[in-house]
Amino acid sequence: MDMKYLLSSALVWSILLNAYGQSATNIDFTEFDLKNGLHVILHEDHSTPIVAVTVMYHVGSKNETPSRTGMAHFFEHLLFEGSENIARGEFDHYVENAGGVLNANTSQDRTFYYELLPSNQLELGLWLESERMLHAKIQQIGIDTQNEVVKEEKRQRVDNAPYGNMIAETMDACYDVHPYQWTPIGSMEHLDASTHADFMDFYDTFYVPNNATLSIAGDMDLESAKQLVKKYFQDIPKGTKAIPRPTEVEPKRTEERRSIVYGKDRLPVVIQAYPIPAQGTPDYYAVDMLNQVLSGGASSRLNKSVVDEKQLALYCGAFSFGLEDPGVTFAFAMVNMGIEPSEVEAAMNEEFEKMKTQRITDRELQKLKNQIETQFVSGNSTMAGIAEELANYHTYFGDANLINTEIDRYLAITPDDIQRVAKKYYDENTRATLYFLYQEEEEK
Amino acid sequence: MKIFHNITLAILFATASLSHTGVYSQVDRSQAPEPGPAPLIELGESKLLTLDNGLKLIVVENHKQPTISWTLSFEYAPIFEGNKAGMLDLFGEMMRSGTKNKSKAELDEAIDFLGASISVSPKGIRGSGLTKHTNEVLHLMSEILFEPSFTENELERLRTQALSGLVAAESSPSEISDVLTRSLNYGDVHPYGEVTTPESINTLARADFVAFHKTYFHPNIATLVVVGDIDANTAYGKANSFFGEWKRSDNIPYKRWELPSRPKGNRVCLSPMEGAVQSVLKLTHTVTIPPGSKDAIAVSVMNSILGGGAFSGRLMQNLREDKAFTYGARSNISIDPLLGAFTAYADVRNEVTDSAIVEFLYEIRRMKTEPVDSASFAVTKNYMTGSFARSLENPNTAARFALNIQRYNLPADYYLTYLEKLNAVTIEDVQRVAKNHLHPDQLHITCVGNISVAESLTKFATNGTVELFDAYGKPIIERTSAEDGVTSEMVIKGHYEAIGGVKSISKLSGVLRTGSMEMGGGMTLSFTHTASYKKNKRGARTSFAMSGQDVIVNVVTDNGGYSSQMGPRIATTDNELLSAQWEELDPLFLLHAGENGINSELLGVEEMNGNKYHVIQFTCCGTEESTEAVNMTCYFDFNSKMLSFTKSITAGEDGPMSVTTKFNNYIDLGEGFKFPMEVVTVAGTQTMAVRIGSISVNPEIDQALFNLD
Repeated sequence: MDMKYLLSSALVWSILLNAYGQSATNIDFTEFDLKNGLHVILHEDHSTPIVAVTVMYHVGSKNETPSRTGMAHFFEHLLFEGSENIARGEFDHYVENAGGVLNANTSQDRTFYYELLPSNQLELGLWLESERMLHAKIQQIGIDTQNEVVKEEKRQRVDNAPYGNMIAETMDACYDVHPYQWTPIGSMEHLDASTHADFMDFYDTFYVPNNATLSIAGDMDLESAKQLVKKYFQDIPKGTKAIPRPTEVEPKRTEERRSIVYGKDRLPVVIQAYPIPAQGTPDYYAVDMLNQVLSGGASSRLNKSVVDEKQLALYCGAFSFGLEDPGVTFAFAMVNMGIEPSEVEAAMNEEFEKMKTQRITDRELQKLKNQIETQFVSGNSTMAGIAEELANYHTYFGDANLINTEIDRYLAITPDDIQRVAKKYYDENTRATLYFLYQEEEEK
Repeated sequence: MKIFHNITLAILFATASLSHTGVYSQVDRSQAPEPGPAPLIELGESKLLTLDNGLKLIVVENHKQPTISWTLSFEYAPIFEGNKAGMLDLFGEMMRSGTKNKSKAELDEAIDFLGASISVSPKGIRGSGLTKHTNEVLHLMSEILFEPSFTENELERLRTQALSGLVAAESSPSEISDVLTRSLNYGDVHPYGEVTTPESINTLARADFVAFHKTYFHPNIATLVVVGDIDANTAYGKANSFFGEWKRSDNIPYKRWELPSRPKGNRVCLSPMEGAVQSVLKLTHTVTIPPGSKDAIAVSVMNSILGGGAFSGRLMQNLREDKAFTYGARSNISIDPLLGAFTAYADVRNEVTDSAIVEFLYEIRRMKTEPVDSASFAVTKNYMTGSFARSLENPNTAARFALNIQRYNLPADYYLTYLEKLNAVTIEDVQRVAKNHLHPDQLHITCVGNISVAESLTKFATNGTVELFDAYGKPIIERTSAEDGVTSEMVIKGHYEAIGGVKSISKLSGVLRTGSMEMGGGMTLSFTHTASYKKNKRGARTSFAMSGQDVIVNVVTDNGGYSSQMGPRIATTDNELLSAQWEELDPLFLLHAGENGINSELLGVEEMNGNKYHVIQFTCCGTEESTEAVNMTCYFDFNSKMLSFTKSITAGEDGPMSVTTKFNNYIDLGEGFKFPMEVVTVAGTQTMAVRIGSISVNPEIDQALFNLD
């Protein structure tokens, strides 16, 4: 059997948001608002004759109601079905015929659409995205088809994939009142129960210029680009409905939650999830640095101790799942054959304890800074990546220039900060611990 | 010349005059806007240099970020690991896990401290980091390259990880699917088809890693690709300084691999996955399309129309957008210098597994029988042109081009003229390559999914059976108990009755068979087998000869035996003698196992590859330390009753070896006895096929043939 271990790169990065990877040396950009509230960001770069045309809508699974989960992601699928001027099946066609690619993705907090096109097709990209925003066509045949496609997506990514239900189970254990308790793919029953009116309401509420950021990066002339943007977007009417954003605050727990989830995967997995502050807050950066000490590189605490020295796990790491509202740190281990999950958990806890009782050394701090510097410098190597980061920073923080300055927030963290947040947030009473264990199928 | 003419692009992108200034209040949304003038495309420069020791250097200078990557890669013929399968999978981690001067922890710390990364694989080493840390990164890379420690501790750690990884993979449908398709396409005696198992992982020893490193890690088969914030001269200087003393080797092993053939019809191969809600489908067969060959680009166009692109491929349009069977359906043709594969794939819900296969076959056949419509054709070419242009955003692309030109011997302007070549592909070309390279009647239709779907897939199998495989690509043998009242003796008697009758055979005084064996390279050995069954005069002699000279001779009698291979006779003793005396000196030996002290057991009835067999195992005389003297499992065809093949475990040089002997083409040459006209013996990668030309029963036999002196 090929040794594509179900760990690190492929599995983990595909399921967890990458906390790093923004801000190269200096990204210049220009930004402005249209009268209808659409925020526009333009970054000019003539290295390659391509352009990334992207729209970020500030809606994700956390804007859904408990009886209609999966809406935001489903809607992302529907937005490929065409518009008043674009027939069903034509949207993809236009982009590919122009030599481009397109895709989209939905998270808990936002939905992001992009086209990567040769630079002489900027206007095509603007027409396509403005058509979606102005008058996307929501028809029953599209709803029915995408309903089945989304079910297959869930089967492929969650039901049939190794540890596919890990995130959903963990988030469910961590959140009782906040919408983060469900994941973007949502419930198939809710989707089946949704009506055409539900979809139109969702569209009219969230898919409006005042809830969107148009972010373009690549080979363009700024003045012409501005004119084109106005041409296609300025006449799109502002939304009239109030945009609901969740106000629920997940109460702090005082007692650990522990559970066992049985499934088809042979190797046990241990997950510990600790509530952490929302992204962008001062303590968030300290927690992120803490996780870098625990998990960044082969010399990191968890890898060195749990995987290399004690050989208890095939893989062990900790990541900040940073979200707009308070998220969690996922600490995760794939248990080696013949080892008890509780042994692995004990070894992980030992490392967390050390972070609380001992400051990191100056050398370790320097190592962290060097690692952060490399990550920030290497990130933003593509137009698509830059466009997305600019849109992220504006949408969440109202400050697109964080693409250049966020690194400073990381570099300002001290060893004392790291020790302090370890004590404050890696509190076993607030955490949720889950064991994923193998159980053979019951005979039917 | 690196600047690419815009003329070609202009053919593909319609140009139009535009005026964007001012007029924006009345936007006409009813149509897609026209594109602007086609932009110029620059391929990116790369410089090719060579060190004295043969190390080649490819440098792509790019100052966008203050980082540099150094990728050393080796070029050698694929390696068959055999019972050490998996060594190469672990090699990279092993080599990276410590040097003469640094333990793994110290090495990890040194690399992480720089914020750099260094990774190793059997194919090379890659290091990257900030420009200011270049010397440190190169120093660590060279330390790993020249002085890896390959410690026993690290081997044990990786062995545990590997075994755990295999356990995890047993519940991963996508992992199992990869293993299954590879082992079916290439077979288990080909480097691309072999499978790592817990058994093979357990054979690995430190010496294996040391030997691999010593044999293959040499500069004369290596290229160092440098991309980033550095100019060619400085890169050359650094390469020379860190790798200039590296010694070349003139003993790099080379082996030419036989191309495995495609199946004769469509095979349906299922690996059951408990609780699966989707079938992981791959329809696949091998293809031969070397990179840079005349058809390569037309094949890419053909594949893009069938199952490539982002969403516009026919498979995606049919199975996802029209029928909603799947989240994604695509196809791929790997263009590999030795042998590639065509694969069409999708994950579909259980209930539509058979319908999805129908659609896959329909679309694949359609590519051969109908010329593609000009609209799809145009979209595909445009998409591929755009894809090429977009790939140039990454400076590694220029490096990859230079590396490919070098390793596949492509013309120097291959990529400069790529878009021209792409544009020159016609609709006729696409249909021609589809006809030549797609074989919808020689497919492995593989499915990793719920056993409940098996029944519905029978109709796709040319042999009418859905074959089952485990997670390691091994056929799952369905064994049931033999029918009531059937005994081992009855089955064996059935064989002898079918080939002439127990009574008649018992009266044979001897048999003489002659024939030949092809050795490859045009060489043929002649084969002679003489057996005497007369009481007190029993003997058997097997010989292979070339141009009248004996090359191999084996003799066995009741008093002993020997074998000789172009040299002195080596006496056959103990287990081997016992086994040979039983098999060779009695035409009814299977029936007389018990009298020779050999146990026989009727294991049951097995189904394999659409055939059914009675299975009897013969064993004798093993001890805890040694292999059994006799360990032979016989498969008697359920219908014809005759012995079809045997599987024996014998002692080989490196340990127990499995040998399969097939008896094909039973014919009666007029004497009233049926003999197999072809006997094929397979052991590991070796196959010997003997064809019988003539047979005499009860011949005159010169006893001198059996002299042991």
